Amino acid sequence: MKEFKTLIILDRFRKMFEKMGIDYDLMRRILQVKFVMDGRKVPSVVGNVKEKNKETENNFLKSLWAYALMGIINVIFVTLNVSYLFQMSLVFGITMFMVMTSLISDFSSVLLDVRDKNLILSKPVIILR
Amino acid sequence: MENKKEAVISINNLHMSFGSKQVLKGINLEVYPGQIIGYIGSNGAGKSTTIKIMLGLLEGYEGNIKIFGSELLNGNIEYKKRIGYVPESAEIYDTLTAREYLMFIGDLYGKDSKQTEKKAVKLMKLFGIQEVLDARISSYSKGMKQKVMIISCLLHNPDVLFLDEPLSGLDANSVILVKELLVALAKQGKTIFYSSHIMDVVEKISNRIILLRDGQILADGSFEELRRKSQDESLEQIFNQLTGFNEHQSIVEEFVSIIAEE
Repeated sequence: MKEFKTLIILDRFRKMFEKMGIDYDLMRRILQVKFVMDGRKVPSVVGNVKEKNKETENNFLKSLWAYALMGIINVIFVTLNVSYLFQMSLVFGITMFMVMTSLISDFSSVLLDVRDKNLILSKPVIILR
Repeated sequence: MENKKEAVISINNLHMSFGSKQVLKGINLEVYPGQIIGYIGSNGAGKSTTIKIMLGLLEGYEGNIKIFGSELLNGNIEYKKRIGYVPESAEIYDTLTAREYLMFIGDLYGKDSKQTEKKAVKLMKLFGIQEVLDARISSYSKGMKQKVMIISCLLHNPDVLFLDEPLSGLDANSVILVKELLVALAKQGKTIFYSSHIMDVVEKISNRIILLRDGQILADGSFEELRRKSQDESLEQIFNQLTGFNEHQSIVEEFVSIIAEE
């Protein structure tokens, strides 16, 4: 299984998780599998061309390019000289829409997997409520 | 063949409702090691519900369930280490390869990963699917997926198996293989809950048949006992008789005529 930088950073917070009563190794393993699956999904971030993803956390870095593009388009709207109210409404509208849609598309497949209930809950994994 | 030792599973007066609909109306059941239980019933009778409650996938039930002697309500999940489950809906993380998936399942059960990997490779070889070990499960055929799921429920050597239509998608050779496998496992003392709609398989391998209807147990006994009671030949006929279904002829005629309507 691959090593993910995010998980190495998360390792620093190990004590905090264990204090909450979580089996840290198991949680790390589940997260690792989730990241692997996320990396293999067909990219759905707006602005991403349908290229074959390499198996790293590149999904996150690639989506940053989409945000950069959005930023440049916003620059155009900010520098128009119509009226600030109109311009900034456009900018905020575009920003909110982009963030909302990419949030939904990025996180729903990892966090909200319907199969998790049958697959993980039927194994001896402690669920915190 | 039944060892009258301590009951592996004992269910007492189990009730369960989904909202206003009561699905289980008082199930009483005692299961002993070494039994293969054929768990059958009409659609919606409550078979999968009972299994899911025992696995801890459903909450909000009333009644008493004890697995391996300790109450389910304790919140202790250690018993799940000794249970294996093959669900009817073949849900699996299909972007993973079989090797990754089986190692992940082994880790979830707290088993050593090197050993799990070795076991998994050997079992896949026995099932004849070792060439696709490192291909994504999404590229598998239904039968191959099913074989992976059967392996995944056996890796940790569970004492109780819950199988919901485990033979679906398997070719004839694998069906014979799995049937013999279940008999061999039961001889070792494992308990097997076999839920299926394919009556001839159930009649052949189970040594105790439990028929569920409308959330209650309608019949509980070996195939011979049921046959004696109802004087029918096959389990399918016994099932039809016990669930009171004998109008299939007229239903079929009506069905065909509706389809042919212009």
